[in-house]
Amino acid sequence: MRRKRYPSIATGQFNRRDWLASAGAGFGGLALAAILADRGKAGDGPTPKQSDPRSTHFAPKVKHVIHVFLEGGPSHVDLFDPKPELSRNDGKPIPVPGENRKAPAFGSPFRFARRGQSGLEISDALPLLGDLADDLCVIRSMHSDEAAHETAMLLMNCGNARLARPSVGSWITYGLGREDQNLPEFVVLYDGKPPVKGVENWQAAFLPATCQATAVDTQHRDVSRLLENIHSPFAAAAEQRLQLDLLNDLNRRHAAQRTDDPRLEARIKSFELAYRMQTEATDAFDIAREAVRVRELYGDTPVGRQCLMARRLIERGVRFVQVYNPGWDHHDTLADNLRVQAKGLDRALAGLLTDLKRRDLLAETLVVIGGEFGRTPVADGIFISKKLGRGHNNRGFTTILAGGGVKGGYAHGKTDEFGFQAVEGKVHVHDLHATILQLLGLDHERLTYRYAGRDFRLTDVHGNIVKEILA
Amino acid sequence: MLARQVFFAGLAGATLFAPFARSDEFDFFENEVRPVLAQHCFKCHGAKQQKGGIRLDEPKHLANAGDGAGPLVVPGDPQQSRLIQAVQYTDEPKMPPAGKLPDHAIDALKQWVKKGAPWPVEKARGGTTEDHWAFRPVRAPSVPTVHASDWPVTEIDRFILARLEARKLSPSPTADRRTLIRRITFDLTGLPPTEQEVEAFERDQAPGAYTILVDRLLGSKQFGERWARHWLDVARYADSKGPSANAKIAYPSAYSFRDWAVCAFNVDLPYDQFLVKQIAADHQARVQNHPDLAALGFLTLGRKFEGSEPDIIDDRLDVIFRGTQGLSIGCARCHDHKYDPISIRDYYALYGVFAGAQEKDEVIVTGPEQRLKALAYAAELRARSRDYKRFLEAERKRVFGDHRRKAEQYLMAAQLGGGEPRADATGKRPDGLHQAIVNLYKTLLEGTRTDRHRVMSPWQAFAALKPDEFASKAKPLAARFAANDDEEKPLNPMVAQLFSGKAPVDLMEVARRYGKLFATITRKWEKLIAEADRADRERPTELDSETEDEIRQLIYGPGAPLDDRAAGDIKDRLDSERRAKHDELQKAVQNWTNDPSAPPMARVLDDPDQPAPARVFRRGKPEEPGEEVPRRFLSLLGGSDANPFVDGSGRYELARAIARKDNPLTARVWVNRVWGHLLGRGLVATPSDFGTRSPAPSHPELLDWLAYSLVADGWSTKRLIRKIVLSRTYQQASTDRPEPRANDPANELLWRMNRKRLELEPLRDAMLAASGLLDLTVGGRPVDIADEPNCRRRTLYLAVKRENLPSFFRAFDFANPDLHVPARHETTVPQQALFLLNGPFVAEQARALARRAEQGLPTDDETWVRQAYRAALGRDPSTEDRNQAVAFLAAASTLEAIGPGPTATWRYGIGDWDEAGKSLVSFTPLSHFENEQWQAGSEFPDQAHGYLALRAEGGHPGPNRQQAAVRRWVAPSDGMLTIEGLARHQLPAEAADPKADGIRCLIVSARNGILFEAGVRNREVRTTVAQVGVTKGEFIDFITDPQAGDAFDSFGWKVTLSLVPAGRPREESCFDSAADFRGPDPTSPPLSPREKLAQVLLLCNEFTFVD
Repeated sequence: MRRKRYPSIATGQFNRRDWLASAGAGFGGLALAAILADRGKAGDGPTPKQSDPRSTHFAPKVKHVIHVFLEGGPSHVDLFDPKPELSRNDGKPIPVPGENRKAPAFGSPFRFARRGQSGLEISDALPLLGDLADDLCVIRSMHSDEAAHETAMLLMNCGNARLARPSVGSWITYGLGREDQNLPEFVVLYDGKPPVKGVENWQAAFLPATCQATAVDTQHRDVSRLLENIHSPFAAAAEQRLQLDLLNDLNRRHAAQRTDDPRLEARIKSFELAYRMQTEATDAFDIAREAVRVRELYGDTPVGRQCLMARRLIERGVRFVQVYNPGWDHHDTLADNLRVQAKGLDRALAGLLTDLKRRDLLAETLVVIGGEFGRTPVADGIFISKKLGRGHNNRGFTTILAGGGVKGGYAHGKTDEFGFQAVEGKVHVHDLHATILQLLGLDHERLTYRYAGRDFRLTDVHGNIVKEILA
Repeated sequence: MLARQVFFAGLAGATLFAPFARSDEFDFFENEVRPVLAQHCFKCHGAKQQKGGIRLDEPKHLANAGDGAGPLVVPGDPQQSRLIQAVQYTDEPKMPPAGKLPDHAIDALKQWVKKGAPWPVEKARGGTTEDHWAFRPVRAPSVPTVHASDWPVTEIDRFILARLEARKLSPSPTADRRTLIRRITFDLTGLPPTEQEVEAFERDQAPGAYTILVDRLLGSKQFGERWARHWLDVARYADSKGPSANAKIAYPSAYSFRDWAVCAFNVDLPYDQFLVKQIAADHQARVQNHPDLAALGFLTLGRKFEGSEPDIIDDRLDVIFRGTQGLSIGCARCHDHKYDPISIRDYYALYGVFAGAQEKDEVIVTGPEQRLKALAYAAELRARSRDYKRFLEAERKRVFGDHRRKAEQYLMAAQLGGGEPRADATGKRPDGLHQAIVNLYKTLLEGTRTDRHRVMSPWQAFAALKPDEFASKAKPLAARFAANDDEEKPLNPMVAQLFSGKAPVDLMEVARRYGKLFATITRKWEKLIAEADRADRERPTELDSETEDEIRQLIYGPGAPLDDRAAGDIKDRLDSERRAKHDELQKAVQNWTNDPSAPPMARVLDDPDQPAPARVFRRGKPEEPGEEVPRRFLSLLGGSDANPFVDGSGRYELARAIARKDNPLTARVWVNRVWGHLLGRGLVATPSDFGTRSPAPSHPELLDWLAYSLVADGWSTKRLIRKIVLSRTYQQASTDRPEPRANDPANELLWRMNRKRLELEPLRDAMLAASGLLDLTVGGRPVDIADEPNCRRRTLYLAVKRENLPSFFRAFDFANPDLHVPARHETTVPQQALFLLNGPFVAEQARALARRAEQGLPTDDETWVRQAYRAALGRDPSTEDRNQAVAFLAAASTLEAIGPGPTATWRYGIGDWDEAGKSLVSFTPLSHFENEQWQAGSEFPDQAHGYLALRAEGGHPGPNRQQAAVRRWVAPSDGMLTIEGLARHQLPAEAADPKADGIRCLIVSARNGILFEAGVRNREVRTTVAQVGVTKGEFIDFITDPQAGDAFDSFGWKVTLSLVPAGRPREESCFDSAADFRGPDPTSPPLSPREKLAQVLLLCNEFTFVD
């Protein structure tokens, strides 16, 4: 990569390699130094008692997270949570006191079957994922406080429905730092249109700005449009190398009088990182480089391409990738629309899990699949020509985990016999967050950041680890 | 930190309940115990209610059991404590009754009792607020005496030196003149000094030169721009509301607040007035259209939280109290503040000041001559909007008729169906009904054809009656519906009511009754919508009454008769003439709002005429209103129920309470912010948190002295800044000194100046200054960077869109406009470097700087380098700088230009094939990309090269073998390559022209020679190469050349390459000649060597950091 330098007249005989060597700590130290410098600035920052947020509290089970966010609220009773009693009452008011008696029960138009060795029940809307039942850890007893998309999305992503709070990915980035030095550590993929609430879903809020996700609109296939300024329209790599060598010489002379300031060094290194990103990031985001059979495995749909991109990213060390898959808000025509919607997802997820397994990546990756809430067992809509759908239901829904550290072929918790609400082994959104952090080796009670005079946590004052699902 | 200013006390007999000694006990209580008690016990055993006489919210009650049965808590002995017995469910009573607590909660309570049941109490809450430094009155401290009495030049220096001397440290020498002018110019104006200013200041050794410089900068227009931006961070300023379902997300006139702030700093508006106007300019001015109304943007320009009033008010209280008082009062929204003496009553006393206030835009006038213009503008805008709205309404009515009032006719028409009257082209029927609407009613009736429908089942029943049996059967039907006692089939009560009186005589009468019911709901709903629109609130989503809303859903739901979208967009039903009219009216409104000559408007607050009494919302929930509280100021700062606000909403009184001279926080918070901007760090490290948990000031006496002087100087911010920058403390060098650094590594005592890094705005502005392109126009509408990426205005004037902040704003740590931001983060991320290296903005500045350094003359390299250094860094290059720069220019000009970007994995060119040597003699890139093909020139066919071209799926060779079409692939890494492909020529063969003699396909590796060769004529040929090693950067050429002639030699040739990197078998990469095919990357002219050097100067640390 390094080309012939212009002849140095510097008496110090300094060059880039010397500079990098003299920096000692390497790039891992850079991020920490930047954080430390940041810490002093506002007085806000990591809680003083916490010595180094970047070493994990426990031995981590996984290194990466891929969160496939099914935006809109997928129907648990049609996908993951079979309800025979609901089918038996189809069309009748549900005999449960306190529940909506105005709307009739809506038995699932999908059939459930036991799949895999474990016999986990999954609906025929997801046949390929069903083949992988033994890899899935199905939490059937999720519940949330919010039944509107906006607030429920924020609660699921940031642990708070209304206030500006850091997202799960930001906390993880803050807690673990970067593994790969050529790519951002928290990446969000959406296709065409950002999800409801947009950037708030992956905000860093009061955490350092580097903890915010790099959001990429995957409708662009061309890598130079996926990542801004990733290519120089003016200069070849060799020409930039020459510039960077001169820049480093200038900076070195500048820093020689200012040896005590780590920020100067951090900035020098950031140019080197950017220089490398120009080639590495291009490759990482370019799914056209995958073999046709691999691309076919995921399916040529937006979510298929996004999942494939997510795999390429975590393979290269990215910590947290969030994939947004919209279109799960089935208020009507659920039987038809859910089937179509599930088809693309089914292929993408089955492809992702299969591919991760083949590459020995599944054991070190946590795949989270789910929406902001589930749907009601009773029918919704205006009952036009029997095109029935379901309403929002935050009291009981399903989230799927797969990968390292969690049990496979396992169903945790229960909703009532109709699927209105979680009744056994209830898992709140905060509990899910606590468990995700736990799997990454972070104690949700100790991962704190001081802001506005208070120590903040992802789980606020809540959160219990869901021990039953841990492998 | 030991300085935590919270006090603990054991109440109810210090012997019983241990005071806190250690902070981990404190944390344990606050994190584990108090939340359990608060969540599960206080509701019945707290301040409001004491069931069974038991109260658990204060330690003094814990010794009693109310009924005399013994203490609730026996410190140290969980088993004897009745609280523990109750929560363990071992004995009656079992508490809480709703269900046993989780084990961890019970454990926490047990542990707590075991530890002696310690309970923290802030003394401050009892009213003794003077214990916390920030809440004490500001008094002028005496200026300390110092040993090195020749060093200080101002009082500030004495405060600083005294602390240094106490630690046996000495201050640093004064910075050199160049450093000093650069520092003070950036600090006061956000811009670098010009090279002439630097030179003049270096030459002028007169003792007063620095003071003159400071006064010049304080008087410049750019001063206000720099300091207003600091304030905009506090005010979480933005030009839009942020992500929202509402289409109206822009604040088109937010800029008037920004410009008002710039002006306020420039005219040195006293800080107390500065605050009063931002909170209550409308009450103070009481003059319509006064320019100071723009100040209210401080309150109104926050996010809108989907229209949720409690959140909007919370945001306003946050910006006021963290911004001006250094207090976060948000915690008190749900419960008394845990650490600071702020109660939930305090919060809602202030909440009441803002409850019910509405926002609106008001035209502001800056002088009498603008007045008429502005008023005329506002009138015109109203008129245009009204015209457009009226047109839409009229057209809707014209097309659909007044169908909202004709529900009964539509119901009948939909029910009867059958031989429908023929509608005209627009869908209008002879009976005056509109077919589209009839269809919607039909859908409604079809969807409700069940005897269980809560609204429509009576209709369905009556409609099923034959006309001759109607008279006999209607009566019992009506009676049954009116009774509504069938539990299996309940009816909506309002529908049941329809049949309570006389039974209907025919279906038409049933229709009339339904029509009346629908009309009632319609009127009610549309009134609500209209009210919301008038007040610019989010529209409601449902009716309060469930009964009514059930009917609303039926008629307004998606696809229902009154769903205007279902009937179709009215503008799509207009004929071309009316459509043109529609567009014209719509445009008239848009043009008028976007008109650059439109006067500025202020986003103001309109208080309700009769403010409702303020109420506490229990647990922060508006649906649980609690006790009434009078509107008043924080009790911590002298507010009391006995002394409530009396003037309307109390907003003006609130503003004055904040701006009072004896408010201990206002001046302290402000001088600390100013100090922080100038010295690089505040005396209090948390500029927006002066509460009891904040760290103590590094120099408490200095803080008070500054606060006292600020008030004594009539709240003049300029005089405050002047005082600070004229101190020797501020003028110190920032150079490192090992000895004091060992003693005070964080430089808390200010033994030197802190080095500062330029934030986004001064960094970008400094580049524009260096390039000479900077446009110093002050004020006005913001510029959208998406429209003008290379905008030359100061960064302050770029639009701040909450929902779509430019990515480089985020990359460079711009203050998140969603929140009040106490201080900016300072991060170093590669996205910054990418922006600087590859972004068009920086390149434009580099080009302009290179040009500027030529000063219009042909210059030799040495002269140019000197001039470029002076323009960019304000200094001459050192010998080393100069030599290196000259060497760089030489090296850069000899470097082969290979074109930008590492992405060109595929290249397209003309090859000269040497048959004897079996290799390409040359490869000349095809220079033109047109009509989805690479070709030799702008003409096609080209004189010299004929039909030579390459397309995604194939191409055409040149006229001879010296002009082969070559698709070149560059190996991105070492590895093992497999190639598959299919080449074809003239298929089907029967249709082929006999003159075509075919082509030849070659695959050639630069290292291994020919990998594949085949002649192709009127057939398909697989072009397969199995397993060949390649090294990074190696060329694989796909060469197509003609046989004897090139007539009819269009060919198809698609190849896919699979590269398995050495040692990483799973990371196979694939390349597809067709899918990867594309035209040139967008390029700009390459930077010349001098421009490259200029860019380096803009990127270097010396440019970005200020000593």
